[in-house]
Amino acid sequence: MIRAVLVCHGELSAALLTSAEEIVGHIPDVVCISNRGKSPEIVRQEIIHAAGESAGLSGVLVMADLFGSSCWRCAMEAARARTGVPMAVVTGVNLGMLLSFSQKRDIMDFPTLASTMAEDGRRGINGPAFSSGGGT
Amino acid sequence: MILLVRVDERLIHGQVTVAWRGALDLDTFAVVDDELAGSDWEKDLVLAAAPDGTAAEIVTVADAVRLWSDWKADARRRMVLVQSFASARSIFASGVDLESLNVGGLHKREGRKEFLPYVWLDSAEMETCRYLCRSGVTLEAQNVPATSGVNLCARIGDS
Repeated sequence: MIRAVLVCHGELSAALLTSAEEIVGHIPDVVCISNRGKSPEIVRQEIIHAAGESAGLSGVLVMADLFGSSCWRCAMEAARARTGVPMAVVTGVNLGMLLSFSQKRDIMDFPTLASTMAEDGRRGINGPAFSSGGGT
Repeated sequence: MILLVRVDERLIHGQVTVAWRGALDLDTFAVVDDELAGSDWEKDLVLAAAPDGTAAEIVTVADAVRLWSDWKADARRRMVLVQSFASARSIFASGVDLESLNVGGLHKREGRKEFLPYVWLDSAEMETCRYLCRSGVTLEAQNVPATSGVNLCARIGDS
């Protein structure tokens, strides 16, 4: 099993998960972490804990919202802390990426899945499609 | 020039790179931290957080003390960041004319007491704050420019 850990600002992690579940139903083994009001040390510990709390994991994919943010930095530091489970960090998590994770987690090996999530997240960004502003 | 000296355990992050950078038209971030300056891996990570179009550097306290007058004199619009009051005290105690500190974010963790939603301090940190306050350094808590500043010296008092 590959686990996802969402590390985002504010309510974003939980909101992304509940929104994705409205589309595809329950998505097991996804841990939501917010950095709100927490020192980086706490966020790091929460990520490490989330990665290490059960046996039988083939990988933990940490999806952070913002490259360069404290969420991302904590994820990188946690990944380096060697939890015993392979970890990968991607940023820019969006609904498309999470939905894709739910569909592909059981059919890809961990490194392939991690790379595919980065691609699928990017693929969700489209446009701009300009309109004339309405009217006739 | 040095436009702000900030204590923020998240160092270069969104509040700094988006909100403060915009409000103060910053183009340079100087992180002062002995531990980070000694680790290439951590250094790369912190520097990667600096947005395009800005410069960032990580230096030791000793280097910062040496560079301080240059930083004040040059044309770059710089924010100096430390992740703890201990680093701020080291800078001040080395003779830097530190008049005021912006206190951005020291968050909840075990042993810390809440003074503001984004300012939690343990007893050693409170003691360091009192030392700085007694020494005439203004401690102004303000996480982002859109909020109003709070006089942290008055808030901590002798409690």
